[in-house]
Parts: sequence; C-alpha cells; structure tokens
Amino acid sequence: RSQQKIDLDLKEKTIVSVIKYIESRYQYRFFYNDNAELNSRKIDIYAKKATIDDVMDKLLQNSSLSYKKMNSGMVVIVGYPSETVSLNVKGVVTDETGEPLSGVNIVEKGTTNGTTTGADGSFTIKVANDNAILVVSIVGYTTREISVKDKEISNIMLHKEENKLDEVVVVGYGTQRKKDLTGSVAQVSNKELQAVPVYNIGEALQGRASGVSVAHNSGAPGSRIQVRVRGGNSMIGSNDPLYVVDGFPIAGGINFLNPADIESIDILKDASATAIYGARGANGVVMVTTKRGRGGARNEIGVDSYYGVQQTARRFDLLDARQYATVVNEFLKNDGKDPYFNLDDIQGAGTDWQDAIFRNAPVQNHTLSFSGMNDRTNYSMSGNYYDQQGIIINSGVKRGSFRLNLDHEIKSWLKVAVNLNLSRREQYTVPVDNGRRGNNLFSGALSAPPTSPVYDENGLPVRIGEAYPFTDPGDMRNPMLWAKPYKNRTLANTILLNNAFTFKLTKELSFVSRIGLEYENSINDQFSPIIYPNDRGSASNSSTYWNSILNEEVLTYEKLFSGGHKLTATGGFTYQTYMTRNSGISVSGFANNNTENYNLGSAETINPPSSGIEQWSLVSGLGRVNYSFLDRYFLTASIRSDGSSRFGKDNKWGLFPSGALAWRISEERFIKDHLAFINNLKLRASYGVTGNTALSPYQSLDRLSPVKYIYNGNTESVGYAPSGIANSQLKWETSNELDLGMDLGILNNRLGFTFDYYKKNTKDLLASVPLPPSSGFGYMLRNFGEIQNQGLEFSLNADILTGGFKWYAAAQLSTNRNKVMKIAGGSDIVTAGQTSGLPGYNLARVGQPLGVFYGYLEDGLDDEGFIKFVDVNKDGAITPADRVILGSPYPKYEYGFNSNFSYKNISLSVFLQGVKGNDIFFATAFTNLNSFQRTQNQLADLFGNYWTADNPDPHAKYPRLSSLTQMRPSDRFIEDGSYLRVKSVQLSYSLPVQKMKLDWLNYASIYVKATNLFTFTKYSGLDPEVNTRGSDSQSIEDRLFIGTDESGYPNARVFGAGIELRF
Amino acid sequence: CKKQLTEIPKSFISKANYYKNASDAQTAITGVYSSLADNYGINYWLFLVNHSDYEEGRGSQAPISVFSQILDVANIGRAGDIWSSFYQTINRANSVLENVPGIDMDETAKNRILAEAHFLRGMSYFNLVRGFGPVPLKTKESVDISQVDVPRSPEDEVYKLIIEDATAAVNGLPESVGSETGKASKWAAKMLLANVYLTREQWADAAKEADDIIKSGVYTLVSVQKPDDFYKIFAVTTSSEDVLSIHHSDSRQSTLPSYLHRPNTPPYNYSSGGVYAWLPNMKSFLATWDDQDLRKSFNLYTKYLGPGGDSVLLPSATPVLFKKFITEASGLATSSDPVYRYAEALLIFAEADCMANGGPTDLALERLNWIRRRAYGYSPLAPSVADFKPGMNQEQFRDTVLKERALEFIVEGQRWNDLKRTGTVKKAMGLVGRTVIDARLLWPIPQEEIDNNGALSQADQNPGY
Repeated sequence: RSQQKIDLDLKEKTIVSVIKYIESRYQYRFFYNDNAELNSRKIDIYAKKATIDDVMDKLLQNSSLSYKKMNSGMVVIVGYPSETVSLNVKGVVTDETGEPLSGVNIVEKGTTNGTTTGADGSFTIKVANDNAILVVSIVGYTTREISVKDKEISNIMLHKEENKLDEVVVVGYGTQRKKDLTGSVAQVSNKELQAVPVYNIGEALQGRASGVSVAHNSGAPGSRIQVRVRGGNSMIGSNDPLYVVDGFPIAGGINFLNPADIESIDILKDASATAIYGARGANGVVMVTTKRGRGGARNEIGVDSYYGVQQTARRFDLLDARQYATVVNEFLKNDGKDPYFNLDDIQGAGTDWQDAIFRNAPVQNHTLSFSGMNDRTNYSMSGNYYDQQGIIINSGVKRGSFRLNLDHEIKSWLKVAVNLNLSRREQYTVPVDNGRRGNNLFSGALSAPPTSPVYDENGLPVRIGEAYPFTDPGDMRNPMLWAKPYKNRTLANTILLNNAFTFKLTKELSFVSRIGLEYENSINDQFSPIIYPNDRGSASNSSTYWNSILNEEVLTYEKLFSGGHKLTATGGFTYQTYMTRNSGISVSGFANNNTENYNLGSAETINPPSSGIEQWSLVSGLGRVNYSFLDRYFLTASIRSDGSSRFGKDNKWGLFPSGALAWRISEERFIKDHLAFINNLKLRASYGVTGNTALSPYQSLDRLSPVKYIYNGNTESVGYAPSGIANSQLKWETSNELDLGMDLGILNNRLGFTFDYYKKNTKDLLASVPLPPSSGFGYMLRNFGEIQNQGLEFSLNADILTGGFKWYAAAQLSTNRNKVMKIAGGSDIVTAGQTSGLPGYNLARVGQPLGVFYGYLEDGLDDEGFIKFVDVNKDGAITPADRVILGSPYPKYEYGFNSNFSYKNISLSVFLQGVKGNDIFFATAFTNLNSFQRTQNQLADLFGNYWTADNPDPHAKYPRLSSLTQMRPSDRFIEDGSYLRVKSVQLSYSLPVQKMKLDWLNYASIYVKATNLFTFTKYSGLDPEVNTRGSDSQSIEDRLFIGTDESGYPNARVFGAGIELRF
Repeated sequence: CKKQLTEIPKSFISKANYYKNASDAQTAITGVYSSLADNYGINYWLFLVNHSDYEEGRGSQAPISVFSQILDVANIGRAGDIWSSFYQTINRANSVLENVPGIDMDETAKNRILAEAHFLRGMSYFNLVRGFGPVPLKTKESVDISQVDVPRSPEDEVYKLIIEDATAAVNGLPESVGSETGKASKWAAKMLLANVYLTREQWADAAKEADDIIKSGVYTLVSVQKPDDFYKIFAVTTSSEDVLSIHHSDSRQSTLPSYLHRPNTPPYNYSSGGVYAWLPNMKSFLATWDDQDLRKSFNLYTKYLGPGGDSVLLPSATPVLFKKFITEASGLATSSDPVYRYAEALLIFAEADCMANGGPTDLALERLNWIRRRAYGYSPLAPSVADFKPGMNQEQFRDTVLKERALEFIVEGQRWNDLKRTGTVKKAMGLVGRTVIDARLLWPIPQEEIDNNGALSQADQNPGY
C-alpha cells in the first residue's frame, strides 16, 4: 500500500486541497493541525508515478512544514518542532472483539511524535505532559482521540469504520463501491435478515427495501413466499426475481438456504443493474452473499439458538350450537320443511371446531458456525437445524443444512473459492388454503355443525355430512379426516456447489472461471388412511430430480488513469443448463393402514405410473463498462446476449443493452464550499432493456399428448391427441425501464435518503391467449400484450442519537402502479369459475391494474329475501354485462419502519410493516357467510342480521336463509386489506463478558422476541396478509386470481427467546 | 450454440413426427375415442338426468331441476364444459380426417379409422345441436389462430353435416367389432342415424335404420327373470344388447354409481364417495309404476344394508333412491355406461314406424312388447299377460312408447331429448308441478366462446343468458 504511485497535475491549489485530492484517490491518510499555511499557500504540482515521499517533498518545499510517514499510508504533517518528552504512556489497542490490532498509528496530537503498535497490539509512547492527546488510527477503523488521562488509555478499543459510502455492494459479475453506483440497488444486512425468525429468506426481505414487496400467500410453514421487485411484469411467466447465490443463478427455490448464513443481500432493481442478467433480469435480481471467513487471525465459534411458541393471533367467531340450531330451523322453514331442532334441547356453546384444529406450536432454530483465516486461507462453516410445527395440526417444516465456504490463495496469481451448501427439508402439509365447504381441513372445521361432537363413541370422526337430514356428505366433511395418519410430506435434498478460480493475469486484468452445480431430489409421500369400514385408502409416491450446471468465464480489466479517469471493463461468456425428471405412482385399496405409502404393491388398484422430463439451456455473452471521472461523473453501459432453448425456432436470441449516468454533485466545489453539511448527493439516471424467459420448455412446439381409451374389455389403449397450437414465433418478454434516482447523505452521513422513480414497460407478454372452446383448445401461447409498472421509492435511515443512548431508525415507502396497456385478443380476461364455487372475479382489462376485482353490485334484497343485483346496463336482466370493477388487490403503498434503541448493553428493536389501500376478496364468506345455502356453519355475524319473513327488511345484511339463495361475486365480498403490523419486537442484552471475567467468550447476548405481535386492520378475515390463490401456474386464469382469501392459513403470532455466543 | 438451443422433446410427441404410419393413425383415432369417454363423463350425463321430469337434482345440481329460472352460475359453467368437451372431440376428429388420408397404410384399416372419426364428429354435433341449438360448424382441425372465428350455423346445416357424417360412418364401419367392444360398429352408426331421423321426424328413415339393426341379428335382449338379472346389462363390461358403451377400468372408473347412492349404503355402493345427487321425483309417474314391472324394484330402492347386515330404511329426507349403476364388491366402478342399447332400436322402430304409417303396425306393437315382456320377466318373443294390447291409435301408441322409453332408460339421459323432440317439455314438467321458462329449452353458450370467437357477439347468446 505504501508503494502506491501517485499521479498529480494540479494548479493553483492549496496544500489542503492537494492532500484531500490524494486522499480521495489513493490509500493515504493525512493528519495535520489547522495551520494558515496549509489553507492559504497556493501551489502548482505535477507528479507522474511518484512515490509519496517525492510528492510530499514537492508539496512542502518552501514551506515551514515537514512531514512524517507512518504505517499503513499515514502521513503526518508537522508545523512545529516537537515538545519536550516527559511522560511515558503504555497501552494495548484491540478491535471490538478484543483482538489485538497491530500496526496502529499512535500520534501525539499536534506533533510528529508517534509510534505504531506491535504484533500484540501494545505500544509505548513518550508524550509532553498529561494534557497530551493521542490520535489512534488505522485504516478500516474509526480514528479516536484519547487523552492520556483517560482510564481507557491502557486498553483502547477501535471500532470498525462504517463509512457507508465505502461499503461494497455485489452487482452482477462483480462488486462496486456504493458511492460509485449508477443503478438502483437496495442492500439488506444480515442483522435485518435475522430480525424475524424465518424459514425462507424471501420472507425476511419484507419491509426492508423499498420497491421490494414480499407477501405470504399462506401462513402454512414452508409455504410459498411471493417476492416482487417493482411490481409484476408478466401475466403467466414467473414474476419472481432471479436469485444469485455467490454468483450462481439459482434454478430452483431459495428455501434451502439458512438465513443465518447470509452476510448480505443486494437487490438489483433498475435495468442498468439487472440488464447484465439479460433475459432473466426483468423481475429484478437478488444477489445473495453468504458469509466468508474474515476478521483477525483468530478462529471463532458461534452459537445461535432460538426457541419460540406460535399461536393463532385471531380466530373466527362462528355460530354456537344454539345459534346454529336456530338458523337450521329458519332455513328449513324457508324451504318449506319442518324444523329439526328443539331449541330447548340445545345446551351450551357446542363444539368449537377451531379448537380441534388449531394448536400452540413450537418453532426452533439453531446454528453452529466456525470461521477464521490465516494468511492464505479463510473458511466459514456452519450447521443449521430449523423446526417449525404448524399452528394447524399435521403441518410443519424442518430443515437441516450445512455450509462450507473456503477461500485459498494457491499462488500469488491464483485464488480459489469453494462454496458448498447441503440442505435437507421435510415439509408436512394439510389442505387449508382455498377450501370450500368440506373439501379441506380448515374450511371443513369452519363448516362443521357446532351441534355435533368431533368424534363418535367409537372414536371415529363423526360423519357430519350424514349427521342430519339437511347436511350433505359431499359438502361437509369432518376435518379430522386430515389428522394423522393422513400424510402429505415432501422430503427434499439440495446441493449447491460453486467453485470460482480467480486468475490475476496482470495488475489490471483478472479472469474468473466458475463452475457450479445445483442439484435437488425430492420425494412426495401421500397417504389417505382407511377411517371408516368401507374406505379403501389411497397412497402415492412421486419423486423429482433436477440439476442445473453453470459455467462462466469472465474477464475484468480495471485501471486508474492519470487525471482522475477510472475504467472497469468486464466481458464474459456463460452457459447454463437445466434438466428435471419426475416419476410417480398412485394406488388405492388397502387392507389396513399399517404400511401407509411404503408398500404400494400391497394395494388392490395400481394406477398407471407417470413420468416426464424437461430440459432447457441458456447460452450468453455479456459485457459491461464502468467509467468514472474525478469521482464525480459516472457512466455504466452493459449488454448481454442470451440464447434460450425455450423459445420458438424463429426467435432464439435476444439482446439486452443498458446505460446509466450518475453525478455526485457533492464532490463539486459549490457544494463542498457552501453546503458542507451535505456529505453525499448523487443524481442517477438509467435506461435499459431486460427480459423474462417466463416460459416452460417445449411450449413453442405443436404437441400431441398421450390419452387413453378403454375398449376390448377393460383394456386401456393409448392414443395421442393434439394438445396445443404451435407458435414458432414465441420469444422473451421484454421490459424497457427508466430509472431516475437520488442519494443524499447529510450531517456526517447520519441521515441518509434515497429516492427513485421508475417506469417499466413490458411488452411481448407471454399470454395464453384464450381461444373459443369451439377451436378444440382452451388457450394458445402468444407474445401479446403490454403491462406498465411505475412507481416511487423512498428510503430513509438515520442515526438519530449516537451518544450513550443510541437510536437508529430506517423507513421505507414504495408505491407501484400497475396498468395493463395491451391485452391478447383485445378483450377482457376474467378468471374462470369453478363448477362448485364462485365464478371468476379477477379481471384483466386495458387501462386497469392486472387482476382488478370484477363483479356485480348488490342492491338490497327483494320481497322474497333474495339478493337483488344492480342492472348496470339496464337491459332488464342480470347478465355478465352488468359486472363492474369492484376494487384493486394492489396496495396504494407499502411501508416498513425499523427502529433500534440501545443503551449500554441493552437494545430494543421494533419493526413495523404494512400496506395501505388494497382490497381483499373475502371468499371464505362464500362458504361461511352465504346465508346457510348449503347448511355449513356460518360466521357469527350472520346471526340476527339475516332476512326473515316476519321482518322482511330489504336492507338486511344477509339474505333469506335458503337453498335457493344465490350469491354472485359482488361488492359483498370486497374488503379493505390495509394493515399495519408490529412484525417484530426484540429486546436483547449483551453480557459484559470482560467484566464478568469470561475470557473465553468474545460476545454473548440473550434476547426475547415477539413476531407478528399486533396487526391493525379493518379486515374481517383472520389475516390480511393473504393471497391464497397465489401460484406460479402458467395459466392466466390461475395467475389473475390475486388477492383472494379463501380459508387462508393464518400467520402465527410467535413469542420466543434466544442466545447468541461468539468465542 | 444452435444445437444447444434446439429443443428435442422426449416425453411427448411433436406433430412433425406424427401421422407417419398405421400405428399413428390408430393412436390418433384412439385419441378421439378418449374424448368420447370424456364427453359422456359426468357433466353431460348429470345435465341430461337432471333435466328429467322424474328426477330432482340435489346440492349444486338442484338448480338444474328448477325450470322456472335460468341456470345458476355453477351450472352455466357445467354447460360450458359440455360444449368444450364436444368441440374437443370434433377437433380431434377433424385432425384425423385431415391427416390420416395421406398416410400410406392398409386401406381397409384406414377407411375404418376415417369412418370412426366421422361417427364421433357426427355424434358430437348431434349432442351439441340438441343442447345448444345452432352451433359453429367446424370441419377443419384448428392449427392456426386465424381459423377460430366461426359463426353459428343454422340447425339445418348442422343436421346436414351430422347426416353426412353418420352416413359415411355407416358405410365405413365394420359390422362387427369382434372383441373390441367400446368401439363403434356399423350398427352404432345406424343407431346415431336412427336417432337423428327420429329427432328430425323423418319417420320412415328412422324406422328403416332401426329395422336394419334389429334384423341384423347381431343383438338380442338380455333375458330377465328377476330384478337383479338387469345387472347383466348394467353391471358388466358388455352384453348382447350393448351397441355402444363407455368402458371403464380400475384406474378409469365410472362416476355414475357415486351420483346415485348415498355413501356407505351397501350393497349398491361399497365406496364412501356417494353423493346421491339424483333423487327420484315421487310426484312423477314413478309413483304409479306397476310393482309387477321388475324394472321398478331394480331401479328404485328404499333400504340398504346396515353395519350388522340388517336392512335399514333410507333416511326420511331421501326415502327412495335410484340404483341402476352399482359398484362392484371390490369397491371399483368398472362396468360400462351405455350410449346405445339394442332396446333403443326396438323402441325407435316402434315409434317411427307408427308415426310413418299413421298408427301402430303389428310389428311396431310386437317390438314394443319385446321390451314390455322382458321388463315383466317373460321371454321377449312369446306373447304374455303383460303385453300391450292392439287397438291403440297413433297418439296413444306414441305416448305408450315414450312412457316405455322413460322407464326403460331411466337415469340413462334419454328423457330430456324425448320431451324436447316431442314438444312436451312444458306439459310433462307441468304434471309434476314445474313451470318451465322458454330460456331453459336451450343451454347457454359459454361466455369464453362469445368473448373469443370474433364471429360471435353477445347477441348470439341463447335467450335468457
């Protein structure tokens, strides 16, 4: 470092400005007292590849000043001869963990008197008197000034420097200093990721980064987490961001990772940042960096352990036994039948079916880690066990994982980095979401009559569908049918192995060759037991195997030119393939439950086995140039060319360019001189083109699929039938995105603010264009349609208090407007209805957000107590043409607020998160607030609010209790989904390990934590964070199904405690 | 790179590699047949059954049997599924008719395959036109988006194609399918043609087609001495009176038994999946059904076997249920669902011959009596005490045949089309206290068809929807 050569060509500058110029470009630090000569004396200076000594000699010639070089590039400028030494001071300098720091500069303030610490961190210095102040400094740590009278002088602790602008962010195929960024990148630290105990790291991003919207589709353990960066662009393709783990673009899900293993997450949001990922960049890119060995020469062991108890935050208020009986009698009366219940016989509240399915469930998470380094090697290794049982019976998830990151310098010109992740996950699911009536566990429990017990005298679940003449075996089923030994388990093993070889070819040129493998196999076990005497029982096993192989060759050239020009150029080639195979078999007809699904051959009926294979490959070339001048003006340009097997033979290749400019105004004189409180002010602008591969393989081909027909006795014969119309023109979805941004840091960067505006137009949308059924097909895939997303993002972080009582706060707010610009076929698309339920109610229409709620308006009740609908088009009949837009499933804005207080060893962090302005379609009501159409139990709100013949109120909230009552998707089901959630509150205490003489411990902390503590909402369902129909399906009708809550699995409230140890 | 980016499917067939040889032609026609089984899967069946005067739907099917209002949304959806399913068969048949002629293969086998495709297409259009009225007439395989806009054709044009298809099928199909029951024979095609002529009131043509089948000697009525003997028709894969039926296997079972029975009501249904969606309407002629008619105790039941093997009355809410189709003792529903039975040929002949000749001929009465005698447990061919007597006029005889059809084909989905073609829907429903609005005489065209077929507008929807 001290060998760094300096180029200078400055005229008419003060010595101070020359020094600052050198500081900003080279790894030298200067120390000096204010001195008129430094600020007033103007000089011309020119140097070419000069040493620091040459430069200093030139700079200070003809002045009264002299200088002294210290370790680590420190230069002290001295104006006066040193004073007489009279006091001997001794001490040790350590880092926060107590590790001694060697090579630390110790300088008596205002003098050239100085020394450096030895290998054990100790120093001795003679100072003038006890008024002396020592300046203690080393690169990478905050410089301290300490009076020799201070008690701490004998043991000085330096804190890691947190200069936010020097933080490095991970971008595609490289890293960049935050202050050099031209694109929009949000960073989430390990600390934030750990705030909420989660199974899937996607969940931990919720409320942490503006423009990144995260939602649970369901509270079921291990269920899908929906992550959207700047809205959804695709109608049927994936809208999930691309996850890149330590440089490997992940082909499967992300839930194999242990959140504790992650050092940081950088979310690339705008096109200039994501275009380097070309055809996979349109949904944003989440760069995940796992922990690597670092720190001092010491090895460290870490223990993190958490245990919590989950419970329901809220339950439905359902009719009790007497209310149910009353409603039954009213229903029978309305349908012209005799009452069934004698109300006087009904005593007590009856059965609480929610008690039967909900439970308090434990969650625990334990990580043991080892890390360390020596001069050529560093390592980081960890093991994790996560176990979460569901708050609904027979559900839960477990994960065991192991990670090893190893970096070794084989030669001075060759480094190897190995990342290995092994993960095993086991998930038990029961049908909860999207239940209608008795077809699943949760809706079954909500529908069950409170007048019936759960089990009969033989211990069998009561057949509630046959318990009464008015109940229906098809519609009502006892939820205990899905209790154990019912089983739906998925067991998955994942390996991610990623090797990078870095060759230092010349000082400027480096070459990275990466070979990686992602591999997963999973087994799904299902077993439906024999419960009643005539049951047959059924079981299935299916297994999936997939792998993805990556090869990347990337060359990087980085050079600082004289005159303040800096250039980084990256170019490379990548090749990634994917292959998946699956097979499965299902059987039915068992003699008993003993062998579950482990001996399928013992069943009477063996269904035909299934199997399949899918492959894709992606071949790409990429290039990027970063140029900066004087740390003020920045330019980035990138291009990627992707060739994908998935597309039509006429459109295999796509080209994705981007460009960005940034101006750090704060480096300009007029800010530096007049607005000194501004530490950083940067304006950014970018524009780029990104793509979305969106599509499953083989969709561009015309396919014939096997089908069966039975003739010749009971023989099944195989036939082939056309299953799709071919489209050789199929290609990427293309997004054009403009981003305008600003970064501001003021008051020594204590207050930071980032703002972005973006506008993203996605065209050539892959659409499964609906065909008239008379064509023989339902859909055809075409590139047709356009969607626009535009939005604003704000984020603010502040060190409000930095003294003994510290207060740090961060807030995010983002808003996204989604609009359909063009649609396949030009006509509206409405989600399909289901035979046994509501017709579809999400709409895609030009000019509207994708998937707005669409249906009928109600107009009170008629004389018979049935619902009247508004005849919007006044044609005298209620037809589909009377449907109107009822609401939008998208929030107007989403926000997160994080606050961290600490005082001495105690800290309290509070994390709030919420959304505002979205609607939810409360489809649970279609079964449980439907005026008893089909005798399912109802929410208690019905009671006393329904129409009766005795009191025929046309404005009664609920219509006539009758099997003839009909409901349509209407404004009745639309509710405000806004909420504010106290997502996490954590109180932690870090033990004063040194005071306690626990020398073997570096750090110890205990904490208590509450997750999902309160939710403020007007929504009448259990949990406003819900989207039970959310899916990755490639059918538009499934995908449009946004914002539905149909018997959604609620998120749990969790109370827990944990410890963290480092030694 | 080019090689890396070329897709080679391994788990399915690309059309470029298909329609090359005899085996491809054979699997292609099997693909069309597969769709036939889908058509006669539960939706079409339950729609027809619930449109009967002797039956009432239950649960989500209840609104079908309420004729004073249009179908509810769930059942509009079912009508749409029926539409889509028949058009899927039509498209597959069109694919065979376009691609198989070019295959170099045995001509006899090829002609049979083409005749089968004609048969399946004609039958699909016949079912569509009866259910929905005028329908888009598609005679080409859909291979391009430009082909999808097709207007509704008048019923006469649709019937013209149906008759052409059925005639081509009669000419190309074999007289015997041998052991390949479940496939169409010449006689199945004649059954189709006879039904078409009957519907079109081309009485002589209908009588002739039915007569051909009867005279072929291929089929005989299954003999019945006691009620359970009818299981030899309905609880088997095939029988001597099976002209065409949808076969089943262990993994592709019939859904009919579960629609008839309550769960756990042995011995008629051994599985726990019964939903008893079809309830006998005892306000109808079922109430006056002669106890001597063995079909009555075969088709209706009031008791089942309880856990201890004792006889238990059905719950008071459903005192009577239908039982024509049952599940095997193993719990599997693998027996065939009838499409065309020989009994229908006899009754079509009786009706059409009577209508053609202005009154019942002796032969028409005799063939009607074959059905009657078998129902009462007598030999079909020998006169019996159960016989209908001569002396009826045309109207009386036709009413007798229609009543006999209702009893013979109970829950086989014939009744609605019988009432419609005879113009007696409102009268028959009136007898059981039901009002029928005109809108219920045709089923609604699916909204997706109107939305995505450029040749249709909302005005093309059937009245009332």
